[in-house]
Amino acid sequence: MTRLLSLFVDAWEQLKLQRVRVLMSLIGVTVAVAALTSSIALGNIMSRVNDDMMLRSSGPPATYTVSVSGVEDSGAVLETFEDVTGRYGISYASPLVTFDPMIDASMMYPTGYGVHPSYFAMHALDLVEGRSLRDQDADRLAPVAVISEALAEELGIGSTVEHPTILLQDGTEVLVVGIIANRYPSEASLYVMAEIYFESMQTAEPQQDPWFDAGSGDMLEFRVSVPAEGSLEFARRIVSDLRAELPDARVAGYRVDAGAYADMGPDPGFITTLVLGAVSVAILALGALSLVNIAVVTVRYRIREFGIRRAFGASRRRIFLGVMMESIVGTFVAGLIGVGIVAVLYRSPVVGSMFEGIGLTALPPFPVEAAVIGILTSIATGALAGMIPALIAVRSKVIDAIQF
Amino acid sequence: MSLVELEDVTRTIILRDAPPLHILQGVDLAIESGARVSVVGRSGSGKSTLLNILGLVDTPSTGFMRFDDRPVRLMNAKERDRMRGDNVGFIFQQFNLIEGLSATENVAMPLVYCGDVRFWRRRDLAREMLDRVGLGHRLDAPVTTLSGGEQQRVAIARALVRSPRLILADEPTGALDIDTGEAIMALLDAIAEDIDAALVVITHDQAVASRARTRYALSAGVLTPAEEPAGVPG
Repeated sequence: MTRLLSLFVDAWEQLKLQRVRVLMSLIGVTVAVAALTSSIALGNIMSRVNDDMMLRSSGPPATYTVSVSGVEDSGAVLETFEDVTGRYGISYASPLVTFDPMIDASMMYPTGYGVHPSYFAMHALDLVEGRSLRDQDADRLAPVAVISEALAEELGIGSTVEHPTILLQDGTEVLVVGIIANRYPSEASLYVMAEIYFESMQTAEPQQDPWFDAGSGDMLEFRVSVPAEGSLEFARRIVSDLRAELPDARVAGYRVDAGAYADMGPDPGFITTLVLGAVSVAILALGALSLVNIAVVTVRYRIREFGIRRAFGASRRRIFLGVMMESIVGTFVAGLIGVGIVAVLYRSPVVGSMFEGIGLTALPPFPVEAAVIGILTSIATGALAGMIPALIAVRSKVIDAIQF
Repeated sequence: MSLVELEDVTRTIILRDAPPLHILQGVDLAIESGARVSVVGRSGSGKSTLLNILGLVDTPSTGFMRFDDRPVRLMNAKERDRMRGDNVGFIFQQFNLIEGLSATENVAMPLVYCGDVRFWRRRDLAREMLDRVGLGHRLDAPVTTLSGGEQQRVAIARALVRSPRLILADEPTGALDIDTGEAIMALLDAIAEDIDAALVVITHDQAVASRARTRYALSAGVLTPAEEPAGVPG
């Protein structure tokens, strides 16, 4: 223990002794480690943002969209779907109908979604105010809705406590019971129970229909999340069960979560890391080269010192490790500074607004992985760069060095 | 039991395009604990090689050597390094202090390699030792700012800080004026006495050599007992 610690102490004192040289040679390493750390961090964050966006828009692995068309009675389709998913114990299952609700007091054109409560959990949509939709909401005479934060802000709804309502252009009044976090900046979304959507569609005149959605026709879509293990088999069984129970319907299913694109190449975060990482490694190699260069010159100049140290009990191994440790301690400190700079910059408002630009609503914590890789790389660079001067140092002969 | 014993030791250097160089020939020498030994010789007589061998920096080409009753031939490099660090203190003509370090840091340096509790107390021990050699007022001075006499005091403190059993001094007064040289030798004698260490001084200065109880002369690699120099008290 004492021997190991004495190695560090010795290295640190040597570094202090040659601080100008060390500083100069380590600037390159600091810059490279900072670049490497930020590229890993950026890639990591982009992967996370990508995963997050995929989760919020398409659901967790493995989520399938099941479409049913050719059946007039949407209520029957909804019931059958619930029966089938219930049979397999699937809790993440929801219809997904999109429509264009026209809001009387707003210039905004929000997107309407007819869903079931599990849709929110499935897509990790966080409630910021009030409550989510409930199964009983399907039977309420006065329709209730959950809206996105940006839409609430646009409509001047700060809280659900005072039972705010939205007046649609057809005169329907919708009670807002909950506000959820935006999936992306200025998301204007309105969620109602799918049953409410169908009832409204059946009662209203088509041309006045606020829920009217030309695209959906008689097709009904569902989102269903099945266990990732054997997901395809699961989805196939659901589709075949639906086909069996709705003989007139055309039923199709396809995977929509991030896993569906796994074969289409690596995610953008990985590519970012790869490209920026390659540049950083090149910078690091140049930094290490200058480190070796300066260290070799210095070590030749210090041969006499090594001889003296050997005369006072330092073994060859100790000299080798000592010179290498000087390099490692130096690059470790340089790496620490590099990672520190990136971590501080990461918290700066400039970076915050940059991430907002790519659609990130909340800045994730600085990826520890990036910091660890940055530090480990700097240590590895120090060890590699220290090897050559250490070999030169250890080959020096005590007798020649101390010149009695 | 002798601290160091040499029996018929030779040191030969094989040169590529010249006949072998016999630096030491048939050297017999026994150094007891607490002995005072001087070796006088001209430049090139093999003094430094002898010192290197005694200090386990170099090894004999032939012959037999024991250090602390252990045959040196049977020690590997690591054991020799440890033996040297634990038992030998070197003092050089040109001081050989490490530039850029303070007096205290130079004296503490050998303690970095001792691997025991003295590592943790190295600064205190170094300061105590510097105080003992009369440099208590220059503890943190960079060694380059010290006078020749002060530098040699730092070197003495460094050689003695691990309480060695054998002090090897190579022309310790060679770079100093006569008065300073005498003061340094008196100090070296006194401290060696204090810690009961054997002191081997290599010199070409008869006055320095005559301080030793056992005196040798080295000429062309052959070690012989020195004759009493005329007019110098023994």
